[in-house]
Amino acid sequence: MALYLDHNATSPLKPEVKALMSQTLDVFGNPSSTHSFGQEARMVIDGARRQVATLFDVRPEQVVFTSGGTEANNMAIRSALATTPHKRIVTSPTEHHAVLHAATAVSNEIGGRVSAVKVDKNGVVDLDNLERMLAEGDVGLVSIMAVNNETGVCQPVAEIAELCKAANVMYHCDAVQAPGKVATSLPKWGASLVSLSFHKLGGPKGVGALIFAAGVQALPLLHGGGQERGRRGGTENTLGIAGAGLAAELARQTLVEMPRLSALRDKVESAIKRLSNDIAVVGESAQRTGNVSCFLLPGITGDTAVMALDMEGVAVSSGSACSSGRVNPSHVLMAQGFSEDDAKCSVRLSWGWNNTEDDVQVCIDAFTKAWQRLKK
Amino acid sequence: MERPIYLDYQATTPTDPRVVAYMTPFFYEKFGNPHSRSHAYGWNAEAEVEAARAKVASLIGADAKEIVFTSGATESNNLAIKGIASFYKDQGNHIITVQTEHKCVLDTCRHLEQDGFDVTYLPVEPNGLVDLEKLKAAITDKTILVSVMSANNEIGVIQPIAEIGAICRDKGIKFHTDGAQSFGKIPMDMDEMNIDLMSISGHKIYGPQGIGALYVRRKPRVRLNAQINGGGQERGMRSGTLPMALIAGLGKAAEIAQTEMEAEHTRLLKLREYMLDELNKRIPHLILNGDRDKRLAGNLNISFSYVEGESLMMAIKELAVSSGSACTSSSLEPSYVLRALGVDEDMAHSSIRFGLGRFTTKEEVDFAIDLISQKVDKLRAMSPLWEMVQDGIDLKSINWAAH
Repeated sequence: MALYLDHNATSPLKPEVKALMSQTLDVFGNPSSTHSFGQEARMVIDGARRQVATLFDVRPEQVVFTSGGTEANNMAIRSALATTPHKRIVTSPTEHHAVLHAATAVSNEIGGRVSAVKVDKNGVVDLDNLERMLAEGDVGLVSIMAVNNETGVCQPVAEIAELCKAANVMYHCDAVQAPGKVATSLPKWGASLVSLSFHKLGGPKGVGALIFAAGVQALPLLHGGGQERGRRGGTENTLGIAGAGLAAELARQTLVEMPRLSALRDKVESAIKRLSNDIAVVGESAQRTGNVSCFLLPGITGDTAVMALDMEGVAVSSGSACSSGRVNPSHVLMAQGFSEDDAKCSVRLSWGWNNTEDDVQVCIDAFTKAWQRLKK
Repeated sequence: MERPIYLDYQATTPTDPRVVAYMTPFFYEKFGNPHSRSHAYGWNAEAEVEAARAKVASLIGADAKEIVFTSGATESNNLAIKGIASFYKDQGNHIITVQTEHKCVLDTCRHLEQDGFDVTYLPVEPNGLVDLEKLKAAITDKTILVSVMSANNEIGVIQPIAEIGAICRDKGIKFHTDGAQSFGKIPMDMDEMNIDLMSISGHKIYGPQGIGALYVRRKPRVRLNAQINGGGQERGMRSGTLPMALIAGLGKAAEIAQTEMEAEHTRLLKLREYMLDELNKRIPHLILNGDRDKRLAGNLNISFSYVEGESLMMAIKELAVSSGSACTSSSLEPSYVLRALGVDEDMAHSSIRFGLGRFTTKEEVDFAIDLISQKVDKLRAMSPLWEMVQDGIDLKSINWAAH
């Protein structure tokens, strides 16, 4: 089996989650049904909701389950813009497409506009620039992610929230890449809305959540049978939600283990940098999560590098998975000021819960071989 | 306590063990992001997604490219109706739907009304079916979409979808059908029926919860504005990482349905007719809500006159059934579907939906028949109304004193 170093794209199901989901396969009732089959499913969902709430120090009723991070981001942006008279969205240019495209779609619909806040060479937002934008008084929503999926670079979430609060503007934070990698707490972050996806943390695909801060109005994206307190219609994905709840609980443990992963990552990172002075690590000087290396390999396109590594038995990705089928440069790196050529030449290694010390040498050997072949 | 007998197959269905066995490995050994184009994990995932897409398409005579995966029928209904409304809004602002549609269709339409759309909520006939003349009469030159469910979740009636499709095609109006209850249960052919969009649910056909699909016609091309934007998956119509295991499960469920639909239909129809005949023999004054013939094989919706619905539900606790649709059954409002049929409030309150399905046995049905007839007898024996009816008094002629 190949070595999997693409946890930021998706992370394999944790064994505990697999065991729980296997047990839950028999719970099939419709959670809205009043009979015992329905109530059994309802209890599963209630339990999972408490687990997710605990991960972010909120009350269970603040958590709305969705079909994933993309839906949560779309719901957050649409809901927020429908509850404010202001139509301008401020976002960072390094956001995931789910945020950028949702922001564009919503603002086209309502006749608003999207502004990109300045970011530095590492992709970290310029707080002064944000403050000036907020002072213009027409901003309805700020949407800036907690952790970048391509580089692992962390945004100053609490500071952003403080500026937003002072300007009385809602702050949505796409936290899909955060749990298990950085400390998560809605009260400490101060965001109004937080999006989550559980397949990034060892839970199943098809489940996400949107967390609303107390007092933030939640309007549905999907209208329906009144599920999730009227905030998200549709029969709940009971099995997936069960797995999501446990994955949320286990994320705290993953966070505790981050120094271990970080050490593995660092060893590989230094070995790879030693291969050539041309190789750079994006976001190296910024605060970033301990599990990601985004390498810039000048002259070698990301796709070529990924293929070469795949042949050597290591699964990684170039840019984000959603755009890796195209030769487009990474919009994240472009926003950080890299040239178009350089922005085509990044490869991301993202470590996760099932990686071990043994993987370090396997990865270094594979990378070295691939590098030597590509350089010829 | 032994588990009650599950007779609520229109609310949700147990996942077929064959589906479970098929999909489980995709959670684990065969995981991967189907959009990761650069390594084998992703390729295998993508191949499975495409295989499942083909299975779903095959069941409704569609092309695989016409299937968009969603999180369920609710999302599909939202996407179809809002997506069409938003894309074709320059051509008109009128939508026609039916009073007995699923809540998520009605809620979506009400939401569109706030955005300036006009919506006609067509009434239904006492048998639950749409009158085609009334539909024709409701069409205006502003009509851009007709949305009529193919089979009703509460009363199981099957609408004249092919006829509605022909009318819409003739007028150049997009036709959407909520197929949550019909997909995999009755033959649905997108071309023959002139359907432009159809919503599909996984958990109603022995697949997992949290997965569905929307059929979107390509010839002639139907376009819609995405409601969930992002990485551009599903040809831009629905972004978000695809839940591969759930999709594999939906594909397998569709495949099984395709093979077994006919035999299952025959078996369930026989079982349902037997149940209805037996209940009618043993319990006088039963009313079947909705047309008996144009109806899903696995559905009965019966009003037990002179019995209070909640009391009956409590009395037959050994059966897992529902009153009204599952989504509204926690409220005490009488079912709006039954009200739309002209069923009066008391009778609507005394109605129960029995949903039979793949795993329902003759023994279970026999048990249900015995239990229901015993309990109805007992409850009626305690009812002063029933006594009056036995004495030949017409209850409608009484002026009840307020107190």
